[in-house]
Amino acid sequence: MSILIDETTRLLVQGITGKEGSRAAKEMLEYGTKVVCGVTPGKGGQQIEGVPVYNDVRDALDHHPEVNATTIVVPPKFAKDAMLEAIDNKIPLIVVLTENIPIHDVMECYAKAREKNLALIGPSSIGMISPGKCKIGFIAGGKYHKSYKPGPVGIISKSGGMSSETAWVVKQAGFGQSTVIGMGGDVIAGTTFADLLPLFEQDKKTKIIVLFGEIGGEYEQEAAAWIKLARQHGEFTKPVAAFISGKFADSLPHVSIGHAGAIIEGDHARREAKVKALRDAGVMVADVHHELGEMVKKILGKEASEN
Amino acid sequence: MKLYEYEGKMLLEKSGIPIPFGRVLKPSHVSSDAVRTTFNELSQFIDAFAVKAQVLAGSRGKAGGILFASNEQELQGAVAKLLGSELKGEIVEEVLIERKLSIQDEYYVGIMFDTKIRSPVLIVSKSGGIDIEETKKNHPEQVITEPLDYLSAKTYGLDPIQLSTLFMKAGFDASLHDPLTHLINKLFTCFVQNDLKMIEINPLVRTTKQSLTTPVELVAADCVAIMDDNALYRQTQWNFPQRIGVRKQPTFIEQQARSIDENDHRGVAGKTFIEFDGDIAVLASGGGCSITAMDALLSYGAKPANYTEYSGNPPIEKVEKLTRITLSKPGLCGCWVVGGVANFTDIKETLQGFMNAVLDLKPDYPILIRRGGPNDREAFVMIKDLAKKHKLDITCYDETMPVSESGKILAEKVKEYKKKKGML
Repeated sequence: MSILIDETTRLLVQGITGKEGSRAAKEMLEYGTKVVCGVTPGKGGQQIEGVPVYNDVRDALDHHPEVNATTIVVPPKFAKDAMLEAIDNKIPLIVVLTENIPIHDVMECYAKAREKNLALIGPSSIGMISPGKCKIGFIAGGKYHKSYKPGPVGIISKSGGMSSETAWVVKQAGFGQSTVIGMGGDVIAGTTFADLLPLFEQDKKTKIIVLFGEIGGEYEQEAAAWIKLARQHGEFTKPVAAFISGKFADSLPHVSIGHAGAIIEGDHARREAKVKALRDAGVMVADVHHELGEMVKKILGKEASEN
Repeated sequence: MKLYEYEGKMLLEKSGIPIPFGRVLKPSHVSSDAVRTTFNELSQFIDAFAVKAQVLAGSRGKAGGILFASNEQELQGAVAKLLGSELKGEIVEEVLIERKLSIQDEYYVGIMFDTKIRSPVLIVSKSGGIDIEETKKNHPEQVITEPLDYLSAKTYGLDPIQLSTLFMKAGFDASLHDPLTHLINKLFTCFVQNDLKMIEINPLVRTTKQSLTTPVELVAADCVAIMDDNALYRQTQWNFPQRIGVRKQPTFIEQQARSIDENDHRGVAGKTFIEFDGDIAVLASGGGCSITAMDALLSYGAKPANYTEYSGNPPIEKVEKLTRITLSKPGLCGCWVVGGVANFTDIKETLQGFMNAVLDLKPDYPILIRRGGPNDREAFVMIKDLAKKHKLDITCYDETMPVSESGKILAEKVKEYKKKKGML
């Protein structure tokens, strides 16, 4: 099993005629994702990789009512309109790949998506993949067989590049993944660790969840607080392993490095504070990234790797 | 992008929030004559001056960055003392000269995004001023934080009942509720219209001025604001100059590296460059990966000489330039080219740029490359041939080698190199 996406996912691609949009569409189709239609204002009537293109989301949905997910690959200036179109049309899963979207635009769209109870993933998401079933976005690039195979490990990563790297160390330890999600590192993230952990809890196939966190913001602490509380109430039973990058940035004064959200804005945004909060909640935290593989192996043991 | 006080105050003024009357002096127009002209101009309206160093660091007042003057001679002295001086590691390049307020009370108001609740929050305190950090620590009950409903506030303004409840909780007396409500609504509009990540007025001064028409006068004596870098494209009316971090004097190498992108917008190379004390040169790609890589070096007891990134498929020349600059640091004992699996950065071309510089400089220390992406196989074949021909110590790994493990290998190689050189 998996969370959010599987073989029943029917995908719309907003921005499909762009350079990145068409590349994403091609990669996803190659992987077997059911990309059923695309949207680019003014480009309706075209076909990209055999996928019909419409002028707006409403028109696309009229022709393809089976659509249950969309991915947004448009320039940052147009991202707000694209997100609002998806939200107004109540598409239940909206995966935003676009980076560098103004925070106020994200804030507005996040608030509206939440009002309608829609899952907004990203912005700045590398995408998500349920190995063997479906992938949305750029995650895994064209080389998905290298790092990904179906298995019991759920992965949530703030960093896009490190999502495949994390999947790889897990696979090297002998395990595949149920679903891997790039949540993006923006200041306002549509979906956070704490939003996704309950979904992994419900997923029978997932036996362990691996988190890749970064300096900046407080989503790691939010996850820690949720885990602690949910464990007390017996609502969360699965083991969690994490790696938080940014050890070296802790030793620097106020310099911004890496992702937009990775700007240290106070002590709580530092790595040390995140590691402490997670450890207090019983999460195993790796000191060096590739130790995650050994951790997963230790917890799941040999038996699970053969399943 | 963090704004200087005078820039923040420009935003406040435009949104209708009162600021003290004043002028900014920049190095281009500072001579004793220019100060005299400013004095003559301002003294028609002001009899006491505050002279404030424009730096991005906090707690500026405590560090001696705010001086007062009541005549031209004192003003000349204050400007001379502040301009060009170093304050908390920053060079003071501008001073703001403004009316010294007659203060009855100092409050705090701020609006910022809180990632924990994914919403903007309003923060107010009756005890504003330079000790707000202390107050936050020692009397957290005096600093009140309230989440704001973004959608409703943007459409209808802030909820007046929510605000007056908040003011009562914060201990403001009733005469202040109306003026504060007006001011905070303007502040929220300022926050939204200017794409701010945060804006803070501290202190918000209640002056001693009182009249029938203005029973309470509130003036923003200071302002801290951070504008969203991603929205600068639509905030063109301000045209604030770009800045990277705080205005520290960049080192020579940092200056050189940051200039690579200036006239060439294909990809990014050296835009972020920070020099450290260590001896391993690092050329990283990808935000998440480069931070993880730096962490790994530290975990294995190795010391990076710098942090820099290139990404977005930069042309050969740019990578070559960045490599030259990075490797120009004396005393290097190793070099690490590290990145994840690129989606469209051409690995052969970018590593060709790296090798062009390496073949010229012929370093004898170990070089480790860990990279994947388009044309990586061809790149590694090319590098292995060149390394053999020119007797260079270069090891290549593709993405099957974990990033952090390759850091461990390099740390060991560097140790060996140092032993061989008698450095350990």
